[in-house]
Amino acid sequence: MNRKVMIPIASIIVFIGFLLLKFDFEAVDSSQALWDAFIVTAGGFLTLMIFSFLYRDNPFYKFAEHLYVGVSAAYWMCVGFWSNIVQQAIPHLSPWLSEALDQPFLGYKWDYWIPIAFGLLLLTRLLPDSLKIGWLSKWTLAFIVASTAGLLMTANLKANFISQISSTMSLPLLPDWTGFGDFVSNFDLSYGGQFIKMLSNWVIVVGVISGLVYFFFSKEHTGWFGRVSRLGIWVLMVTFGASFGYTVMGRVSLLVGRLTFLFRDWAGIIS
Amino acid sequence: MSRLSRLSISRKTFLTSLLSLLVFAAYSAPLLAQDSDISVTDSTSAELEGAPAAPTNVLAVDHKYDIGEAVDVSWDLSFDDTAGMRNVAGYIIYRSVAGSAEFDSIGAVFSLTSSFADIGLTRGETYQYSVSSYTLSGQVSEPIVSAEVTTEREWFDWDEVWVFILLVLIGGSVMYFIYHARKGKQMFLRKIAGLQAVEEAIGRATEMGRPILFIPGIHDMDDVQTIAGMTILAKVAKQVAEYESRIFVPTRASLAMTAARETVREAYMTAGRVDAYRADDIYYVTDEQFGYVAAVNGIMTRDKPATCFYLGAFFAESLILAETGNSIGAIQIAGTAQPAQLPFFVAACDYTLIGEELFAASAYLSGEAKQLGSLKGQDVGKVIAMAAVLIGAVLATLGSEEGMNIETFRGAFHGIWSVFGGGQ
Amino acid sequence: MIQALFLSPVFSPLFSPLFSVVSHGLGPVFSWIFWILFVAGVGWVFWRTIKGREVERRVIFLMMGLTVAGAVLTGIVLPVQETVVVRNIFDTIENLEEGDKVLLSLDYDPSGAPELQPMAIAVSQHCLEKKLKICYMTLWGTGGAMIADVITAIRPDFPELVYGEDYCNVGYRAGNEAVLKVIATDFRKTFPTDVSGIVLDSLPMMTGVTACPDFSYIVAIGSGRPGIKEWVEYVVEPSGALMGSGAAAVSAPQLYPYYPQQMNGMMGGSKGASEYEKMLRRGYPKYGEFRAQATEIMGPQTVAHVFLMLLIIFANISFFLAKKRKGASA
Repeated sequence: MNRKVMIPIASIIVFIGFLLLKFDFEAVDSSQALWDAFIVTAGGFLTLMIFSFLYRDNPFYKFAEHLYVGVSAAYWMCVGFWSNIVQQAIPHLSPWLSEALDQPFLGYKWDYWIPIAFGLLLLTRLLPDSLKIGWLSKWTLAFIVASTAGLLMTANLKANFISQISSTMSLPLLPDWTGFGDFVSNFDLSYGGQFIKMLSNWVIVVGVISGLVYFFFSKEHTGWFGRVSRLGIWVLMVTFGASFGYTVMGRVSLLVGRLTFLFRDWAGIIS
Repeated sequence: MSRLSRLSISRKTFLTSLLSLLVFAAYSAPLLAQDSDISVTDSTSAELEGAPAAPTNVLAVDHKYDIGEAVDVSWDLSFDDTAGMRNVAGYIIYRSVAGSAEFDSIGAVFSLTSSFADIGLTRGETYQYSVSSYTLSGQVSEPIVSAEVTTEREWFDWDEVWVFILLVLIGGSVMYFIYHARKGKQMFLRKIAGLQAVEEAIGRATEMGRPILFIPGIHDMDDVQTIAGMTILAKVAKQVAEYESRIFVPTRASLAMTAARETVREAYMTAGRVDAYRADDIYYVTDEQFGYVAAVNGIMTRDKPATCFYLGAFFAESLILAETGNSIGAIQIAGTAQPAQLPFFVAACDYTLIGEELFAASAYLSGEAKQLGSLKGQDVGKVIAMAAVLIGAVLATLGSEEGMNIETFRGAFHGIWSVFGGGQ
Repeated sequence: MIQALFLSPVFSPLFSPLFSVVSHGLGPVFSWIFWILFVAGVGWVFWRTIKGREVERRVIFLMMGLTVAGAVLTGIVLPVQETVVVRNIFDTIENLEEGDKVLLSLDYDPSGAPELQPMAIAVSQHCLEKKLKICYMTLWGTGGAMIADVITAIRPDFPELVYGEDYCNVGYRAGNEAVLKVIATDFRKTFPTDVSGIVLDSLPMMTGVTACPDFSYIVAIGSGRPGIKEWVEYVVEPSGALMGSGAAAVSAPQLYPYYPQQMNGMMGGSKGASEYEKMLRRGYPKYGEFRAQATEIMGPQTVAHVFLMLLIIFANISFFLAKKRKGASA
């Protein structure tokens, strides 16, 4: 027997071994217990298989990857079918189909045929090229792009342009300036003392303007304009640093979550 | 020292919490109270000893600029709801449909609140409202009745007129520049580092006889970043066709796959090599974010592309992709407008198009009048933003100084001021 | 001054693991072994870098894994500092009245679960303790499983709950922003039925709910798009509904500008979740024994951060040393 046969067989044996370890022999509902044991064991194995990519690409990773891609593609297809077609469209189209699919019939609605027609147009692309009607799918694409743009435009302009500009209009100079205040004695950047307040107002105004200058494309970045744009890129880099830190926190959380699963639910080392 | 600082921290925290709680209570009270059911609706209790003074001047007006389903009720606080007295716990609002004398309680608000928004009414119906104050011990004042009010529908929301003006201003300049670009006017665009690198990178892949990987982000075609990615893909694919190299485009969205196939096929056609176009190299993988990442990782380690492009919208996968690409020694060119993901691309890629540079690159490469014009039009938007921030900051500073009359000064800028300051 | 530096909120998370290591599980011996290994590993990496030799990436992966694994096994628990941003959400729910309705939107998938699931569970527990009615929904196709997990996690503590009266689950609808745009004014148009096809009108708790503002409070917990930003743009801005949020750490910095005007509070990453768990434990002592998932994450988190910071410092030292050597040889 060669490696190609040995490795999968050995893996399956090890898997069954772990499955038996996790199996609760005293459970009343043994099929449920088997299912629970299978879920946890498979979860543990798949986690380790994906982690193995950190060492190098290998058949275990490939297996987990293909399984993941296959299962998730199928999952999304099912979710799409059941939540869009079955739950949204069918209850307004046909009492008979609703009955058959165990959905309550909610009354006919003719306007539901519009999205259905668009959806069908999208499928024309799948027809053979010789029919020459594949271009009809572009109508759907155009509808999606245009309606999203319209939907986004005012919402974005209000929430992300006007609101943000109006909150950037802050005071670069505080009128009742009394000194550095608590900043030195209470070394805490989150403290909202006068100095910090003024400093952050300056940082915001200067940062926003220099950042905008960096993204100004109609003028060559030379001379004083270039210097402001240079400051802009520095501000951006500082922002990236902060963002990087926050993201690292998120990633570590995910790692901790996985390891906790491995140690607690799978291996049972910690309580 | 340490005790002191600790003390001040805790006092500070306490005060901030208290303050935010107060602000929050004032802000949320009307919202919270709408559903609350305060069981003091019995009108006979108004005759109880020690009933609080009733609120005065109860007004009910049709809510402005809506489709006719809301009425704003307001009143002057009860005399007992002032500092020193303070035995009013809140107000109860009643409503009756015109013609009937029967008032139903529809909601209540806390003390020191003098307005209530009644939503979900019928358009064109006439209503009448009354308001009573009540105390914690359950005594209710006599209700003060408002004049009748009829709900009306307005076609335009004049509160939003500044949004409209701004939209016309920016949209208008975009159209102006597109018009001029179409007429063949030369538009200046500053150079973007990284663009020159695109051709080199493709050339390198050809020399090495290895394929090119192009990821148009993980969003669908409804994201403008994906569209920018596709425009750049057209350029890249054309060069790939000319160099007789090979390009892989795995996508996460099915529509993106369709669009990418279209784009690449057209590029091959322009290059006159439509026979070399392989539709199977452009394929949908899965909608599941990390399933997609796992697959692309696999493609990278197995097919070892010499060049990787990541141009579009990216989320958590940015780091994983760029890291894997780095480990196989590929030249990497990235571009996205997702601020949170830029750090990873900047750290792990050879060239990164930061934010709007992605759109600029797309306009630059395609030379399309539409894209050039929008970019120029957006520059106008940026000038407006910069001017508004500067003027706003100056005005805010001057305005805060006592004794200095800036009213005339502010009046001159009133237009801009209301767009950005007063608009919200 | 020095002591003040240690105690300030900026720096204290750095030093506190050295002061207050609380061990459980395998006990203090393991904890000591872990710390010795950690220091030895860091020392080795330091030695390699100042010698100017490369440290292979896999070694870094392995050390990161061991560091976090060791910290998980020793069960380091760190004190959590509360912030007003999270506190606001807790207080809002605390001040709601019995029977008020809360909309909980879980817009994430299993990959975001370690950070976000604890928030969903803690908020749900808090709402049920206050006898509020919860309506679950999701904008993500994979969110349905997350809702099911949350319900499974909280059911044992509240055996008397009745579906449709105390809580309900309307599940997922495709359409991203479009879903939000519609439910801001008409909830039933997008969600005529709940997740299992029961007509919404037949659920007692949903009577009187016509649009998003009919919920006394909305808590949107999300890790991407569609998520919190879309909730603000399409629900809060136009309808004025009151909303709090729970964000994955990755997206938290971008969402801060919406606080406090457009959302009254935000839990950022596992730190935010652990703060909420702490407030819940204090307000409802029965949760003292509860497995606080996010709080458990914070210990290993801090150790990993210390490790990363050391790596960054080493890499910089090595960079400048290499530069110097190059300069000397040239």
